[in-house]
Amino acid sequence: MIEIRKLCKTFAGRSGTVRALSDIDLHIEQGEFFVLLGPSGSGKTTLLRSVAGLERPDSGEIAIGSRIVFSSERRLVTPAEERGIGMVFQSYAIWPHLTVFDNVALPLTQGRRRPGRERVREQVAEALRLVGMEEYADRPAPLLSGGQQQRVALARALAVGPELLLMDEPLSNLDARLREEVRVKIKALVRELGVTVLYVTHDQVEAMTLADRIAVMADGHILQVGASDDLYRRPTSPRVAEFFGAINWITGQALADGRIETEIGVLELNSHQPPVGGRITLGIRPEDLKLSPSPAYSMNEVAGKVCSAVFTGGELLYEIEVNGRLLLARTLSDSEALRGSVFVHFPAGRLALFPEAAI
Amino acid sequence: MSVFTSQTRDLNFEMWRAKSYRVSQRSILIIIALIPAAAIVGLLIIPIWVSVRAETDAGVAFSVGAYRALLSDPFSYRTLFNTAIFSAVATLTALSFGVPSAWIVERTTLPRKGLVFTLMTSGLLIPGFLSAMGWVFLLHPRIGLVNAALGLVVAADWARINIATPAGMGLVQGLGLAPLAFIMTAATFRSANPELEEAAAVHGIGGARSLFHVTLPLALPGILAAAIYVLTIGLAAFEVPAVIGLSNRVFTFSTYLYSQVHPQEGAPRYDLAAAFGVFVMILSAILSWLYFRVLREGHRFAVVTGRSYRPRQVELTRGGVRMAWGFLGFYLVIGQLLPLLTLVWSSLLRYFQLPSAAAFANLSLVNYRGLPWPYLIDGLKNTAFLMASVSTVVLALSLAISWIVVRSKARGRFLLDAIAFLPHAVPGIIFALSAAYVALFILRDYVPIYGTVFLLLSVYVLERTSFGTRMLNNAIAQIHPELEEAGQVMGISLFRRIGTILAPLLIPACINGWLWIALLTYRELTIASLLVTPDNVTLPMVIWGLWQSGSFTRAAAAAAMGLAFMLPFVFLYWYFSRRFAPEGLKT
Amino acid sequence: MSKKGVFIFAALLSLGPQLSRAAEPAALAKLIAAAKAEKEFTLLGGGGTWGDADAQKLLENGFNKKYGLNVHIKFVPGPAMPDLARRIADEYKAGQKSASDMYLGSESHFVELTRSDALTRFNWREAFPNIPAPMVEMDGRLLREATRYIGVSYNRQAVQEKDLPRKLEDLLDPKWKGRIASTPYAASFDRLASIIGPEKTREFLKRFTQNVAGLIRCGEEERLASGEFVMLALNCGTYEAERAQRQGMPIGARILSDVPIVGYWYLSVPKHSAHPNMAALFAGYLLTPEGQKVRYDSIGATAHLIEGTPANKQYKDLKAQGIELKEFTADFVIKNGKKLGERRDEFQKILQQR
Repeated sequence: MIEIRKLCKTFAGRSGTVRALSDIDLHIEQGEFFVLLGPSGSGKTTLLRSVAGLERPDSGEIAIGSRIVFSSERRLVTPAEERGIGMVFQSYAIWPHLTVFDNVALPLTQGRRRPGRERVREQVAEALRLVGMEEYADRPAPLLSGGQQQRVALARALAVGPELLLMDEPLSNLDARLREEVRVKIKALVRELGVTVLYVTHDQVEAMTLADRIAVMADGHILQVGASDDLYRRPTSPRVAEFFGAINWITGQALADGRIETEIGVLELNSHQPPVGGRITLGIRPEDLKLSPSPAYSMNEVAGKVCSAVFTGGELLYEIEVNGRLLLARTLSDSEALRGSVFVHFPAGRLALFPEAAI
Repeated sequence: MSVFTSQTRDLNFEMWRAKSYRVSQRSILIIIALIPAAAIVGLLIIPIWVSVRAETDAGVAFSVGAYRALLSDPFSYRTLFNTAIFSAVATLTALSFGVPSAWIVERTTLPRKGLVFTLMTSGLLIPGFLSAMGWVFLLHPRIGLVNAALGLVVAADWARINIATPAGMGLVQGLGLAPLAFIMTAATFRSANPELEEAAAVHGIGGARSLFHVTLPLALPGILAAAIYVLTIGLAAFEVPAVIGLSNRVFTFSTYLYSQVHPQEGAPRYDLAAAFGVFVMILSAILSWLYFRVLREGHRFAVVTGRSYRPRQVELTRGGVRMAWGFLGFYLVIGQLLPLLTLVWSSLLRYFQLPSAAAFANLSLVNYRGLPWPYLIDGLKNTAFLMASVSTVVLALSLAISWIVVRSKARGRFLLDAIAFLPHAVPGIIFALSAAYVALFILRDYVPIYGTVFLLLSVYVLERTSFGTRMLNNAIAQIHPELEEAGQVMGISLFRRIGTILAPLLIPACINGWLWIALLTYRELTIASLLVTPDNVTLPMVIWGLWQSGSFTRAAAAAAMGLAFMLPFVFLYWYFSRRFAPEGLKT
Repeated sequence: MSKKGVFIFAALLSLGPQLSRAAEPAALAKLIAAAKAEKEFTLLGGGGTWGDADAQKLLENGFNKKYGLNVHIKFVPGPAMPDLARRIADEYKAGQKSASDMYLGSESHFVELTRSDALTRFNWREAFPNIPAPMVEMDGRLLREATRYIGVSYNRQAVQEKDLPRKLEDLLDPKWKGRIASTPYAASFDRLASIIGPEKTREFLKRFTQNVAGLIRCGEEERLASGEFVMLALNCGTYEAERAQRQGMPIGARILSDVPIVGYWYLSVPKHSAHPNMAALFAGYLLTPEGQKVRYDSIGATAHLIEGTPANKQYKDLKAQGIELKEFTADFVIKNGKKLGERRDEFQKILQQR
């Protein structure tokens, strides 16, 4: 549905130029819910706006469906208004001088294709029904709550019947509870309509809940593309790993027998072996550490001491000292918190391996 | 697999369509914006060209003769000296009324201050030459009302205020410019951070000490910027020097220019006028540069930005309220009301007399009856046409320019913005001089625009575009860009976006701006003085013509009619400006 | 004007229409017909040229009555005479229609207009046989309309009869310092130079300008009446003050016996006039006895060569007093145009600087 090749964009700022996009290659399938995830300034919004046609890249190519909408080589730019997409903005961009109905209708009455009056009425009614706003059709836009505005924005984007829907942090202005609720609704609605979605967010939980696939971005690069569990379990770089939550880093050196000599002891891996003698970094998420009060005498087990245990509701958070290193661990809070000395088990399958230089 | 490798005919068609679409809308907007910009630049180059151009019997030659003539004539230096005194006194007067008024309105708990704001703003709209006429009757050394009153106290000549001096004219001009100083410094006081004063208060610096050691130094860049701005205007002010100075042999820059283009006898000296104009353009450029520098310095002090807070207000005692109203009332009565009342009084007399039993016995409407009514109505029609058309065209052009400056990423948009600002910095009379020259000697065979109302329309529009773009730049910047982008992504073309999204959102700003421009157009005399012929006469020019031909009292009658015509617009402006007044100033 | 004078004038006027109507020449009939086809015309001028709205009404009505017309004369307050002359010359060069269909100016104002050959040559005496031959100048381009006796105008309340200047010298008296006005165009001072010589005039002006408080234009009697200035020297003709007096202003005027300058107003029809026939007919009308009467009532200026007019009467009075009037015609000024123009420039400069 979307194909992006070698897309570059630089901005001239006060302190020199900033590379917002460097050589981005991306392929998004028809009907896919695709999320661009990254911290602010990572280039995700620039990429989205380039697809929308609101930003003009310096070089590269973008195709939507079978149409090339941007190509620096062919000196071709299709203006945004010709790309036939729907978009939900971070600010919702609800036109304050119009009613709910008119907000949804304006792209139909003033846009590229202008169906007849009856057809417009039907399409608007249908879109409002989809988001559950049909009772508010006559309400002036300034009288809407944030959640309602968000729904109108979605209805407006859907009313034009786009094959591609772009969403730029559409939930960031909602409060936490509403956000979760809306997330579920969006996912269901989009699946029902079969639209391709390109969605920008900086919230990894949101990304993982919604996405079929996620592209993690930083500093104008795509670090990794994949499904949620892929990215969580098999990050290809420490940055991606860190982006998806807390992680313990342990440095070490590969031994000749394939095991790793680390600062907390010798550990064994499942994955392919690094070259002997190379400095490496191992990552493991707090919930992957197994704690027990008594030793199991298994592989990858080291002794440690509980420094602190914090009860956070469903979970217990531990700080554990192992060979002079502090490690974070997380367990379900179904049992009493451990105290004193504990045994920490590093499951070989959960250890992520990176060359040391990667951090 | 990839679409990039498939070269189909459809694709080429898409490409062609995409390109042609671009030409049709954004480019049109850019062309619309470039027309006034090109005209502004052109009109500023003309004086330079004219000043070095000399027509001899052998043909056209280029020489610095005009500059030599200008520099070797002591009269030029005298004029320059007069201009310096005039504009300095005008600036001082404007600030000494404007700044305290602004402080009172913005930083004290004075009740009903919104009224002051409204009255001050409309003070700007009273045509300066009408007030000047009133001032002649008030402060003339022999016939002035005030001087006659002073004469009752002290008989000696030194106790008379002579208005027919550069300083006297500066005083009158300054009273007229005080509202401008007020509006500009009010913004400064309004945006002052109260924490800085609170910090002073906590550390035991209060009252007057706080005012002089904290508040005023903080507002200084703003005040200085206002001073430079007022000075730039004073430098080239035409109305007051023309009404008071011309017949008393006191020339300033603008009346010098006027007398070179309209000499008593002989051919107009466009070259001399242009040479002087170039000199003043350089001066204005320096002042503008200073202005922006000071403004930037001012931002250094803006410790907290983007935060809205209510400035600390000084609690006024009963006595304080009385003093404040006394000061404001003094200005409003003396500076604005009295000259106009004098004007109305003199309009009822056959020739100007001080109020006396005999004078009261002589009051009549003969001046009103004797007005050149058909001509006056012509002037009124043209003025009404100009008020409507100038405001509308300015807003349309400014919308195009401001959209490009604020919204598009077109290269050179900052240059476009700077050019649109130029008419603010360069005296209007220079534009008029250039336009007169162009219309008379360059365009006459192609576009016979000289002597038509369209020539006035064009120059007025260029002159006011700077205001229009300043206003719309701000207004557009306050509208979230995503509102337009939403329309764009969903297929609404540029013109339709402007029409259905941007324009409706700009309406409050536009109504205000429209009325403001209309009222400024109504009072415009400076540009008209060089461009009006009998066929495109404006109301102010009818009044000015009567005044200039010595029919003072009849001019006063025409002026009174003009004020009556203007009043409904002023009330409209009041109504709308109150509706959209800055927060906290509504009454 | 004495009562007797008024009577003769009035009697002549009442006779006028019958006389002219009876002997209406063919050229006039043709002119009237051509004028009728033009329907309207426009006259530009300062307040002193065509008077106020009342005066203009008088002119329009008189003109329409005299020739059985129904013309609307568009009187437009215009710039000063030299300004207007220059504009008309410019417009001629630019190939545009003249802003004013007719031009009225003093003898000094035709140098540029004749040099650029912008004026119509018209056989005035063929259509208007009552016009005396000396009143037509420059081959019919110019028609003398009124006689101006030049001197000083003054505020009668502020200046006592005994203090009045009688001779040129008296204007230098320090008692006038800061109280009197002159004209920005240095009216008639170049004429003065032709009488007493440029050197002496220059000397005089340098001292005179010390006394001058401001520069006002002729026709601004209001500013004398209000007391803004007590005297205007030199004026553009004593008739203006006399008219102001008739309108109730405390104004008087007199000539200076040692320099009794006489000038004229001239009428001319620009070649690029939009309504040339109407303009010519109107010019001729102004020199008929009825026209002169209307001019007297409105502006106050009349022609001394037309018997029975106030100017004619004044002329005879002055002659009787043995005053040798120094007459200046447009012919003279045009022939000496360059020299006089330079002098005027110089004198204006002296007056403009104190």
